[in-house]
Amino acid sequence: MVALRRLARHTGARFGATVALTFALAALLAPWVAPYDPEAIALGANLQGPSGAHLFGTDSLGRDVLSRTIWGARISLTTGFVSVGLAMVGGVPLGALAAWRGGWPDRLVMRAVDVLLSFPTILLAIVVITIFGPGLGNAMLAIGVAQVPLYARLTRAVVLRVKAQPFVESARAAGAGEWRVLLRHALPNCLPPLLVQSTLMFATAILSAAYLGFLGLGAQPPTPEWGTMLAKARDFLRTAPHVSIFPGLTIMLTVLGLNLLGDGLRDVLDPQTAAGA
Amino acid sequence: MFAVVRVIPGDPARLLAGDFATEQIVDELRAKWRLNDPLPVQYAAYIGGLVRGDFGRSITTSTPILPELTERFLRTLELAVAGILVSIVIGGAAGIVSAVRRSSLIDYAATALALTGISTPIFWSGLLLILLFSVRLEWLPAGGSGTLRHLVLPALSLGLFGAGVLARQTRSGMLEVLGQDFVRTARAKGLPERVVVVKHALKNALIPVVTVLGDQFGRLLGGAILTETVFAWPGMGRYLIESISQRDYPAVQGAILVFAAVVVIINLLVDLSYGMLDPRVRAE
Amino acid sequence: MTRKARTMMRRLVVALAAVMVLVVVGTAPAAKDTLVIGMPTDVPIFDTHKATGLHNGGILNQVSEPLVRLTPDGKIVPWLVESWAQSKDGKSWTLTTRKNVKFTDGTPFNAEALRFNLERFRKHSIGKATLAMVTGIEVTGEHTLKLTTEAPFAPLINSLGYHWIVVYSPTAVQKTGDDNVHTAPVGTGPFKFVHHKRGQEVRLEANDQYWGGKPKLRAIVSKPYPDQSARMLALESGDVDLIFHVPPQEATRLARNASLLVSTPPSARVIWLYLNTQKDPLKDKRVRQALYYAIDREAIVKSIFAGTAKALHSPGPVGSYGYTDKYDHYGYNPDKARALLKEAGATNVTLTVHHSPGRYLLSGQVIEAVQGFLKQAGVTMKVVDLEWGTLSQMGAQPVEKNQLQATLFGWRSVNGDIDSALQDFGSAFWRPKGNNLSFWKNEEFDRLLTFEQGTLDTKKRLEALQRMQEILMDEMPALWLYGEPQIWAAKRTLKGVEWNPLESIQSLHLAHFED
Repeated sequence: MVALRRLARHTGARFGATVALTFALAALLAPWVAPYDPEAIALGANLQGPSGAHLFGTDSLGRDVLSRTIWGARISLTTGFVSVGLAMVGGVPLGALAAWRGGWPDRLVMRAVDVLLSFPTILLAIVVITIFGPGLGNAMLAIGVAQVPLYARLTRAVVLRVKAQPFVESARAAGAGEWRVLLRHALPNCLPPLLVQSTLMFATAILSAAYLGFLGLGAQPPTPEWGTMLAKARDFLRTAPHVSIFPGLTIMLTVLGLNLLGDGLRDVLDPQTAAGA
Repeated sequence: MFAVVRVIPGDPARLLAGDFATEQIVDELRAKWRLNDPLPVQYAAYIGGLVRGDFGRSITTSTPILPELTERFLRTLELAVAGILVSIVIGGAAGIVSAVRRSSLIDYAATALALTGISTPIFWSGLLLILLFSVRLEWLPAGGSGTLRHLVLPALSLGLFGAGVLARQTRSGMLEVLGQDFVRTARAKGLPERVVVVKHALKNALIPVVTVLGDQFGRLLGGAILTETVFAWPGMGRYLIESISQRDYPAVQGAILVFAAVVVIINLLVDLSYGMLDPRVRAE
Repeated sequence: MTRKARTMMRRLVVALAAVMVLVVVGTAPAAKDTLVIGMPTDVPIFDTHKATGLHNGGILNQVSEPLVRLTPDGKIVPWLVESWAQSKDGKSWTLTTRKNVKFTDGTPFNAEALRFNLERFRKHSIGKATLAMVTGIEVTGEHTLKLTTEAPFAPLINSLGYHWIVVYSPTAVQKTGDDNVHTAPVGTGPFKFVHHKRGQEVRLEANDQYWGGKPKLRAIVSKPYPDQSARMLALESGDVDLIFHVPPQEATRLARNASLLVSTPPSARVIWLYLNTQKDPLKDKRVRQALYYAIDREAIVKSIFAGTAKALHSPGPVGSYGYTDKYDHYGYNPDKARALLKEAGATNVTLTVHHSPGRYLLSGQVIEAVQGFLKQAGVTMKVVDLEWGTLSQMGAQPVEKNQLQATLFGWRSVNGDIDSALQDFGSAFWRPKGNNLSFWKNEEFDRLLTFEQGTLDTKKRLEALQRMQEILMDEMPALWLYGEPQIWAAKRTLKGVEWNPLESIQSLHLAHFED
């Protein structure tokens, strides 16, 4: 398609896509690519700097940081998909229905969404965690819930745009059922902006999971989640900075890549939103 | 927007109150904190207390929460304001420079830095700053509070994300404005570049920036939770996390309430200022 | 860039740089008559009877003082209690309180005040089991107090030395209310309470009327630095004068710093992993033994503590009277661990361990290491981190309500005698009456315990102590991990600070800075 070609030419998107691909491959192929068992401890070899045997060095319990980082990609990938998936399942129908129905349900939903959107995502996630307790699964749930308002608002905006178009009126006049019009016309138009948004939200989800992990509210040790790894690495900032540097660098690169990819997608697929953003 | 103010204190309070009964493990504590009362009663009592200014007592210290919460809140405010300043100064400057020297090396560099700012996890930038400025160079303290020196690193780490966002926003805003007719007219009139940039372009570019600022403040509060943890800053964010680990529910409730209230107030302010800036711009 | 714009930029940069330099060069350091201490945790509550078992005890006890003190070599020194005598039948003790001591609110310290505080301690303290055998407290004179015990208890005076048995002014307690003593604690100590800003600092000021002499320092400030790198940086940069819980690996580096002094006073603290024997699958002793085989104590001591800790071969502490390592036939053996678990039919064991970060040196790393070791044996270990106060409360629940399956706790012997460690496992001492978090019961053990605490026959007593250890090493109601080192670091100019084996500082009235 034209879009893909244009995407391929976009420098930012190229870089982003490469990063995203590397990340996905590392995540999927972790069991085969990682040189060591991410949870195998070897106390005698702890806190060693990068070397031939351990490209990223070892952590406080002698575990290979590279392997843990690779497995961490797996966890982050899962988190991204689950959170974004949850958010979409919750947010898209909400936004679509609100836009379609209009009137006071619309206003009510949008008020709630606006309010929730003004909250920092991390705070919303923390509230959910407080209720359900810490842990990776709950973290995914929390992040998903925190992102619902965004999807709701986005979907609503697109559906409203579609609703205003003349062909909708004519379809309605022709007697086509409401649901038909909604499903066949409105929703497909949502796909490009949703794709853009999801890429960006994927990045945010990974970042949020890392934040929760760092605060001790997300993935628990010994799970090699990047944020959780960084929390433990703090104590050794002076003696073994490599344990802090590598996971953090990985988070940054992955999020950066995804952001770039999302930006590129937006420029290519959805110039309207790009201009208005 | 005023309906919102009523909704917010309700949600977190109700949710949390609903869970206390299942998570409490000690009977005497239950009785002490009247958790066996039916939920609506608890809720009503809590709201009643709030109106009177009583946030209840912390389970851990058995002292009233409000005074401590206020103190912690002020510290977070201190940090947040410093962070916003950092964002504005660095982000604003970068954005303006980028827009004025569009497509130059500086522009690309600034944009790249802005993107990095957005993608870097706050706690990582904090740790790196500590590594560089405290451990290696030993210029600045790694944690705690008390003097201006202690504020530098946390504010920097906190403001970096906002700086990135603001840079991008300022840049696009400025670009849009710089391309407009009245700017060209001003230039044609022979007004010096500086006047053009500051007096005309900047003011118009400000509106979307203000909105972004409002958004950012909310983000900043969230980021404060992390920055405070990394730098051991005695603010409300850390209070929240500590209270969670201590299962001190009244304290958690109180902290979340304050966060919520602040966010709502900021939003109101942004809405108001939006209304104020707009007609002035149109008039010009 | 146009010249005007360039000048603007340059000015901005210069301004920023100037601000930064000003900020970095910063403010003047604290005055030399204030001691600033960096601790790993904040004081949960400034009331020693309620906030027991923490290394912040040293700070708390600058305000409220104990009855006797323990010297670094384990001897008992009179403090607020001047002298003590046991009756001929061994069942009662007469304590004489120090004369001419006043609380900082002016009221006198006497036997009545002592009685009041002993009662308060027994009411609130998590360590109330220390005085469990005391059946009567009677004031027999202005300065004499009589304590009656159920049976003759030789180490009583040692027990009275636990630094959480302290004295507050009864008048002050009544004034603030028993619940609010921490808002205005009044004691006899060399320093007075000024304020406690949670998460920020505890501030004390000198008590010039102190019975031991006017303190040289004017104020003490204790700040929590939970992050150990931050704590050490604070010491190295001069922000604090004294820190506790220095990781052993850093100790060597700090020792090389000419302006600092690193101390490793003998420590009486031992770290155990209590196993709740009332909960599955820990009911089966083979499972408990398997866990002990799975953990490589030597590796922990060597890699995490750089050799400064001592692996335990019995409840310990190493070197205490009666300690023997001859019953430790375990050693690191993951295969044996797996075999035992299989034999006991315990597959897919999940163990939840509760732990309080920052309370014990490097305990977070130890917990993670244990987690890794247990995984090798096929046991999944879940860790729950809690704040100390919360964990103490959970631990204080009686057996039916206690949710803890396994907990990392430390114990310490105050009297150099292994009895105080072993006493923990008597069935009469199940929580909340005592410290038996294992809820373990063994009749022979109980008999021996009563016997050795009452007998004056040293040979028989030693035999009993050994047999008790043998039983414990077989039954494994807890995993005896290691003896913790105690590492402090301070500015070399700080003098007059004495440490005791209970990880705390003695009275600071002699402390001062030398130029």
